[in-house]
Amino acid sequence: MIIQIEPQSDVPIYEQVSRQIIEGIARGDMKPGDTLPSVRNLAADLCVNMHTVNKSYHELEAKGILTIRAKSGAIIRSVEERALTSEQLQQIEKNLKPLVAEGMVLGASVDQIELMMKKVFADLQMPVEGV
Amino acid sequence: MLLAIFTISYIVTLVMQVFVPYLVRETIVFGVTVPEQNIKHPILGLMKKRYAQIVGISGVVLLVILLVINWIAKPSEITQGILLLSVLYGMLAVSLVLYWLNHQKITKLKKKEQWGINIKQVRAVDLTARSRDEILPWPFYVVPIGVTVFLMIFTVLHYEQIPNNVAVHWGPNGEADAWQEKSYFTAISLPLVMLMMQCMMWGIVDSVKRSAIRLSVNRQEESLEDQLKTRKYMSWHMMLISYALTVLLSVLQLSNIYPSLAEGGNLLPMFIVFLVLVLGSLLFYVWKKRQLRLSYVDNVVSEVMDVDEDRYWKGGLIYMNAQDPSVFVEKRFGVGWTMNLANPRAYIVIVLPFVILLLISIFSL
Repeated sequence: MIIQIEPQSDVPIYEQVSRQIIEGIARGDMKPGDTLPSVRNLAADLCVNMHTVNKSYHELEAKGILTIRAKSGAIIRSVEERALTSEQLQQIEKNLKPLVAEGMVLGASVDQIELMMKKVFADLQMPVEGV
Repeated sequence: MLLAIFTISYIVTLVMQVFVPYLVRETIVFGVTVPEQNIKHPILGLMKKRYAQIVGISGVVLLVILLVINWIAKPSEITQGILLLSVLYGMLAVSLVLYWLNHQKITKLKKKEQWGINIKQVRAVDLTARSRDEILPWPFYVVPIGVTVFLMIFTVLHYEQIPNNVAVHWGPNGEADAWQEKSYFTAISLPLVMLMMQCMMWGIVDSVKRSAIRLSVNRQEESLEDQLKTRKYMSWHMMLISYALTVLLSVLQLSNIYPSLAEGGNLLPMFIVFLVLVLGSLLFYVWKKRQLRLSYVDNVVSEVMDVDEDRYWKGGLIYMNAQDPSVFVEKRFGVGWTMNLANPRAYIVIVLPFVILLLISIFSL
């Protein structure tokens, strides 16, 4: 799976890394049990400080998406292991709030936002081919 | 003999110099990043061609002058040595000056025509690339170190047998031409040199392994293949040099203990085989790099390009990027690798063994 980082973007690099890994898992490009490159290697490939990658991995671990083991590295959790808890749901809702609010302020209707959600969901489930 | 060896090495070097613009990535022309969107700019092709022609012709002229002087004046060995070196450096100087002029020109052109100014720069990384890395594992580089340690012990055990003068330097004809008075240090100085070189090879390969695998964002699959194979062949090349050096220096060391080994030019074939192996391996690497090189038929139409790292390359030749954890990066002009001089690890891995090597040579020669 390939991730693309924009060093000059306003979004911090660790966040770009986390987001793309999450999207990759959602899309099925990465499967439960897959191992991510070591912090050192990924930092070298991205041409960034090790702390940046470390931060991203630990963020993903805190979210319950990865397990970090001392020897074998960062492993993607299986679906059972990352069973959705109510706290996680609450967190997602909290993160969605500003975006939905922004939509509301700009005049988006409930239907429009719902449609948008469904579209994003469908996009991620669609297998990417020939890219 | 010296002249023959020199001529062969000179021709190989010259051919390499001539073809460098066609061996390095097409997106880096004379050390300047050219976005794939501008890659077929007519001036670039013309500059490469001119460079190859001028370097080629002046290189041949210099060689002819050398051979004529050598034939007419029959210089002494020392004068000949000086002559050979000045011809070699003369040729390298011509190519460096030309490189520099072209580098300046392209830098100006890039600024003037604003290449890549509105193109988004991204860095692509394949998360599975590391599991496909085929660099040889470390035990391959540790085996020769074991040989050296054994050789040191063997030397100390046979110390009595060693003649009073220990050979420390060998001429191009395969015979020793410099000696030192026997002591425990001079007796094991050769294995010490060996040890340092083996450690350096190991250190280089290990550092390359930890260095970045870089994809080209618009040619992801091909560039990944190039990167993985380049790393693999580099590790093979290093292993071959390490093993060839180990054999060569071990035999030299044994000839210090058993002087009959080196009598009557016995060692000459070994020197030649060593040279052929090292040169052959280098040419193999170059040939493979040429095969793996991404070629472009036309300007690429894309909204993204790879990150432009020109500002970290002083003169397009020296790499200094404190943010980059990699110790080694591939050269931008020339075949092979160069160090990230802003990374402190680079000094530990390469400069330290090199200094030790120098110290050993100074004290034992």
